[in-house]
Amino acid sequence: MRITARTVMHLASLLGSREVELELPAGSRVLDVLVRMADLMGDQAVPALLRPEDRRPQGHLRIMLNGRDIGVLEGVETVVQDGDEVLVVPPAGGG
Amino acid sequence: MLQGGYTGKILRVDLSRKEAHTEELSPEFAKGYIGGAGFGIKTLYDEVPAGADPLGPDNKLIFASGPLSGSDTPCASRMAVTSKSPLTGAVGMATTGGFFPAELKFAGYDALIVEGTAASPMYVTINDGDVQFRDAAGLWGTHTSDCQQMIKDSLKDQGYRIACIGPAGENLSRLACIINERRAAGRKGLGAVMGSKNLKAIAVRGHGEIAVADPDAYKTARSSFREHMRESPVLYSAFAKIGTPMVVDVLGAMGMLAAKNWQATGEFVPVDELGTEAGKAVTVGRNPCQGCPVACSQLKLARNAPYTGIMAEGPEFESLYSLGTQCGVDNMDAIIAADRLCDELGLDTMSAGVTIGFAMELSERGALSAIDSGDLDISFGNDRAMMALLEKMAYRDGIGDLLADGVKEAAERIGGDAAYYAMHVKGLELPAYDVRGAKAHGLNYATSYTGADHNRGYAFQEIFGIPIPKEVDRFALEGKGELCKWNQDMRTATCDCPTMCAFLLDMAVPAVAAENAAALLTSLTGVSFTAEEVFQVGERVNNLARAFNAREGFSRKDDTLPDRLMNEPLLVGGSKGHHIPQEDLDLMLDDYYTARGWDVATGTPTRAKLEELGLASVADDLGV
Repeated sequence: MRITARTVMHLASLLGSREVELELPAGSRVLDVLVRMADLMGDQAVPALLRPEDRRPQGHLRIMLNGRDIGVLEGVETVVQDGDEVLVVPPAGGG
Repeated sequence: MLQGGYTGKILRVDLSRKEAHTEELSPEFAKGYIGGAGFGIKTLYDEVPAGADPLGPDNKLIFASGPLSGSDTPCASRMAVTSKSPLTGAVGMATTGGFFPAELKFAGYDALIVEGTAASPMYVTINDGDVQFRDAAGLWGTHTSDCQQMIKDSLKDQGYRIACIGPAGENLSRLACIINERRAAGRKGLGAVMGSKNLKAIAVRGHGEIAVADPDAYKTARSSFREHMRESPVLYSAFAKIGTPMVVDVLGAMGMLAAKNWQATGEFVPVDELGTEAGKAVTVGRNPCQGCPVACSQLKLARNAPYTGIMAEGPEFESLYSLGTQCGVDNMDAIIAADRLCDELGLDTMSAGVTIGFAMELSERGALSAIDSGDLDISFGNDRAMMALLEKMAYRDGIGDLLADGVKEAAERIGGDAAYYAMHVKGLELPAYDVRGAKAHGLNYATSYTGADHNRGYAFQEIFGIPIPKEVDRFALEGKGELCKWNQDMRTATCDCPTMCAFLLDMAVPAVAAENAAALLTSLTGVSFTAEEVFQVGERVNNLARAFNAREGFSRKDDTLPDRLMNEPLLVGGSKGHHIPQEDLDLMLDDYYTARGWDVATGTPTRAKLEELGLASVADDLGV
């Protein structure tokens, strides 16, 4: 299935783009999307995206699935569907 | 008693009589309202009668720094400027930073109340205890930076800090703001109030120091605050370097960056042109407020014709929207130039830009054909037309006179269906966040006592995903009434009153904001505050502001959103399909009034709630 992975600011610089299309097997979770994004980012993905100790997402990142924070869903274990969009936003403020 | 933080003195200036005198600030007043917006709104409620003409002699202009301002608490040189707004007819309260707020304290005053009207253009100087009324004939008509420099030169002291108006305020544009240094007490037309009083500027110089009631406890509280700042995952690592423009990237990704008068949100998203990286490329320096180790304010330089060489402090995020995406402009240099021009004219960047975007849509729809716009092609993306309109608005020249009082007034004068395209609440033009994708933020636009004001109840839970007091679904309606109340009261209590930069609330102390404020206030002032008492000050001030507005005739019917937000779901982007239909807004309003303890049918505070907050006399005034 096809998932759109998006991010902004320095994470987009690491990814090389603010948006990439990923092919993932059915049953994949948000966590799997992030690991694939990390693979594309290379060595700097740890610690920018993943924690060095367990390669799970950094706690300060905001992760949204189809616009909703995954905290109100099933967290990184939330299963994604074909056509879904995952957005990762680093800590931000102001405005 | 007041042992520190406060100077304990209020300066009252009567422009009609050219008289000034000082009054004592009571500990009871400090405990009940802290300072800043609390002081301003309490004074406004008590002293400006119902129905007063905002541009008449009965209106007052109140400059109030909080007890933290001028102390060595970081990021506290803030000030609330309060008046009855000529733009909305409701409470007009705006905060500003820079150095003026702390300087007022150094000069010996917690607050300055300006009343009456000068017979001819005047400026007031305050040098410690010495107050002088001076002729401003030679300053009238000047841009704000010229005005400030001319006053410093005239007084032979470059250390004066000056708040002034530009041509927009002089010409009573209801979009005029008050400029100090290159900061603004923006929106709500406070600059027009100053202009109506023939008051060009206030120059202040002080040499005093802020006493500390309990130095050991204060040092502990301050160290704790600084530690929270250091631990922030964003404050020093990113925000200090990028500033507010980072929100362009965030809102763009979320499909919430409003564009082209709110027709093209999610569609016109010029992140490459106006976002974080574009901002870095034009940044030439930073300019902190007094006592701020963060220094988020960025100095930006335009390098391309025809704007080559123009420098601005900013544009901040909101101006990148109002003078950028709202007008279909993705030329960073043009926005830098427009931002600088607004500062010089004393014109609020946000309301002015939104008003120009409104005119651009009407022009493209043919609704301005009967109005002489000269040779201007008022269409989206035309930055030169935008620049020309800003000038015309400040001087009320031609079509500028039509637009100088904001979208609500202009729509009424244009007639037809123009009101549908006027993006405002209670007359205040909308900020950048397309709240069709963030419901508590939208509810705040609808209910804020100043009109559509993101700063009165910023829903950082929805905008930045900070899960405090809890994680929320930004699209959901449930629980948003309670959340909106919490945001409004917390922001008022911990930022607008003490006074403190609001950016610290969500980026440094979101989980302990009230506790942090209580510790700082208690140790600095000697007036004992618990976290609960601090929070309740926020609730008290919001109720008093609501009561002022109720006295002016505002009620539930005015807690609304522009028709476009209620009728037109977003078509593309990260918030696609969402809007806030009337039934959804009604549901949130019911929840909000219930959470506030207000009458659900009218939106008016109840006697029980007012008595709980020590405002029984206000209940008598309202007849509830």
